[in-house]
Amino acid sequence: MAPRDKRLSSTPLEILFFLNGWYYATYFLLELLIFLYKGLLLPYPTANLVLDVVMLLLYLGIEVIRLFFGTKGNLCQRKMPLGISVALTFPSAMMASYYLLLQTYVLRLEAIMNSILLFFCGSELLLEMLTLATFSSMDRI
Amino acid sequence: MAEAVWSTDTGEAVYRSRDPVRNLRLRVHLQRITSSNFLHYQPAAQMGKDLIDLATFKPPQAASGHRPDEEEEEEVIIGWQEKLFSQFEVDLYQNESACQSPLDHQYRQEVLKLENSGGRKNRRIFTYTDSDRYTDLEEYCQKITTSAGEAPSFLVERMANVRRRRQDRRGVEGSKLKSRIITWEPSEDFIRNSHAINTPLQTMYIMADLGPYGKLGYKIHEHVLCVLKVDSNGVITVKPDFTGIKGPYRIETEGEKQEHTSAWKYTIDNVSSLAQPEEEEREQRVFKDLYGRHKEYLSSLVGTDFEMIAPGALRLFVNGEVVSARGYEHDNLYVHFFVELPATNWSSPSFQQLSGVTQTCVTRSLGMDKVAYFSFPFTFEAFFLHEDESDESLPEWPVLYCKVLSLDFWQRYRVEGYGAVVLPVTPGSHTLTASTWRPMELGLVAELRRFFIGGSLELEDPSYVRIPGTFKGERLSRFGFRTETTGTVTFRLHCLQQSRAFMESNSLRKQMRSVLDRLEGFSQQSSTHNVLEAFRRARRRMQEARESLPQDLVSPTGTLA
Repeated sequence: MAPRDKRLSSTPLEILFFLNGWYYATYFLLELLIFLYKGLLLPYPTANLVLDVVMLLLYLGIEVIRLFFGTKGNLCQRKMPLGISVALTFPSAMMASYYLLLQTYVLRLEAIMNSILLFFCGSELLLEMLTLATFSSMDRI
Repeated sequence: MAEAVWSTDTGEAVYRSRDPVRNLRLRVHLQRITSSNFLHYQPAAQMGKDLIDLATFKPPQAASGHRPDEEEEEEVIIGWQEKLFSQFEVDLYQNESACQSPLDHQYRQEVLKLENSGGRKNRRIFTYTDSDRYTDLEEYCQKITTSAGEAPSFLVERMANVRRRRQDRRGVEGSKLKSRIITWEPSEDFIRNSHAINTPLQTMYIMADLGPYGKLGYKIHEHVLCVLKVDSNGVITVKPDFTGIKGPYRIETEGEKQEHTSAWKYTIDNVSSLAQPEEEEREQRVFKDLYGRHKEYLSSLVGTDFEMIAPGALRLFVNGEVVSARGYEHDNLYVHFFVELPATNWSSPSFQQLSGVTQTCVTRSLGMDKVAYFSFPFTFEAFFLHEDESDESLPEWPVLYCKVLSLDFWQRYRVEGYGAVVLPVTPGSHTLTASTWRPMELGLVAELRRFFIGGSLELEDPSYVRIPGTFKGERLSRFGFRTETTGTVTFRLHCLQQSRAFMESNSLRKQMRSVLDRLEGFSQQSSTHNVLEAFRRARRRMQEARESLPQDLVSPTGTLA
C-alpha cells in the first residue's frame, strides 16, 4: 500500500482509461452494425461470421475487465490490479490486430478504428509501466 | 304591635361550608296562629314556656269542642335530601298503577313500609328532594324579578295549573320528550335556555300541607317553607334564612269559607352537630401529613444537587447539530468539524473531544441546489477563566471550523470547501450558516487532476480560514492565494452559559447600597464636625470676653483706692 498522503496516481493514464471506455463502447456498436452489413451484402461464410462475432464478444469482456482493473489499480494505488490490466493489454492488442488484418473482409472504416484501438493499447501499456515503476519505487523507499 | 313580631325578611342567605353537606340538619317548627295562643307568643328558643302555656288552656278547648293540638303544631328535624312523604304522596303511591319510573317504585316500597310500621312521623311538614320531579318544575316557573307587581303570563298560569295535578304533569313530560328529541335548527333563546349551568346544584324543598283539619293531601294546600340549594363547592343557599333570634315567618292561607282562613308561623333553625375537637385535630393532622408527604415527593423529584462552578469562571455548554450542506459539485459529502478554543483563558475537560466527522450523505436536488442533510448532533463544553481583572481586552470566543469533503466509488476524496463560524455570544438557540470556499490551483492540468484523480489542494492549517495560529503582526495578507466559492454548511447551536458573576450582579447592588450608607455616615460626621466647630467658636468668644472683663474690674478698684 502506497503512503496515503502521496498522490502517485497518473492523471494521463486515468484520462486514457476514461476516453478508451467511451471509445470502445462506440467501437463495439459499430462493429455489430458492420457485421450485420457484411453478412447481408457480402458472400460471408456462416462459420466465419459466427467466429468473428463470438470473438468480438470475447474482446468486449477482455476490454471491460482490463479497463476496470486499470482504473482500480491507478486510483487505489495498488500494483496487483494494475498488473492484471497490463497482462490483459496483450490479448486486447491481439484482438485488435486480428480485426485489422485477419478477418474475412476488412473494411477501411474497420482498419481506421482498429488502428486507433492499437494506439490506445500502446499508450496505456507505456503509462501503466511508468505507474507501476512509480509505485514500486515508492514502496522501496 | 302585631307586625313587629313577625320576620318580614324572606330573602335568601348564602353560607359556605367545608363540611360534607350530609351533616346538615334543620329543625322546622310549624304552628297555627289562633286567637288563644297569639296573646301568649314566645320566641322559638323558649319552647318549654309555650308548652306550659298551652297546657293551662287545654281543658277549656276540650270543653268547647275545638280541634286537638296535634293538628295545630308540628316540629321536625330534617337531614339533607331526607325524603318525608306528604299525605298526597302516601295516597298516590299506595296505588300501584300510578308508579311508572324506578323512583316511583322505590317510593312505593318506602310508603308501604311506613304504613306497615305505623305511619309517618310527620303530619303537615314534608320534603321534595333533588330527585323529585317537583324540583324541576318549580325552577321552571320561578319569578325573574322580586317586584310584587309582577303578573304571570299566560304560559306561567298554564304551567302553574299543570303543576296542580300529577297525571297532567306526567302527560306533559311524555309529550315533551316525544315531540322534541332533536332540535335541528335551535334558536338563540333555545340555546340560552337549554345551556347547562357550570355548577350543578342540588335542591331540596321543605314543604307544608296547610289544608284544614281532616282535609290533608290536596296539592292546592301545599306551601314552600324553605328552599335549600347546595353546589359542589360547598356553597349553601337557604331561602328564607334561618330564623335564629329573629321572629318566625308567617303564612296566610285562604279557604273557601271564612272559618277556614288561617295563619301559620314557622321557624327554621340550624341544628347541625359540630365536629368534636378530637376529630378536628385528627383531620388537621391528616391534612398536614398529606401536604408534607407531597412536598417531600416533589423535593425528591427535583433533587438537591446543583453544580456550582468556581468564582470568576464562565461555563459554556453547547448542544449543536450539523444540519445540512448545500450547493456542492460532487456527491457523497461529509463534514469534518472541530472547535478551536482561544489560547488565552479558555479550557475544556480533557475527557471530551472538540472535533467530529459526519456520516457520508448522498445529495438530492432541492430547487436549483443539491442538498445533503446530515442532522449530525454534537456536544461540548468549555470554561473561560478570567483571572486578572486588570485585563480590559474583550475575550476571544471559540470558533467552529468545518471542512466539506466528497468521497467517490474508489474511496478517493476531494476537498469541497472550508468554512468557519464564531460561536454565538448570547445563550439560546441559533442557526448559523457558514459559506465555504476551496483553494484553487491555476491551470487546466490541476482541474483535470482533480476531476480524474481527486485529492486536490488542502490547507495544512485549518485555522487559515480565519486568522492562522502562526500569524504575528498587525496586518493579515492573503495576496496570491487563489480560491473558488463553493456551497454553504448550516449549523444549529443551543448554547447555555453558567457563571457565578450572573448571581453577583445582585450583590453589586448591595455593595452600591453599602457605599451609599457610607456616604450617609460621612455626611453625619460632617454635621457633627460643624457642631464642634461652632462650639469652639463660642468658647473662644467667652474666653475673650472673660479676659477683657478683669481689666475693667481692676480700673474701678484703683479709682476707689
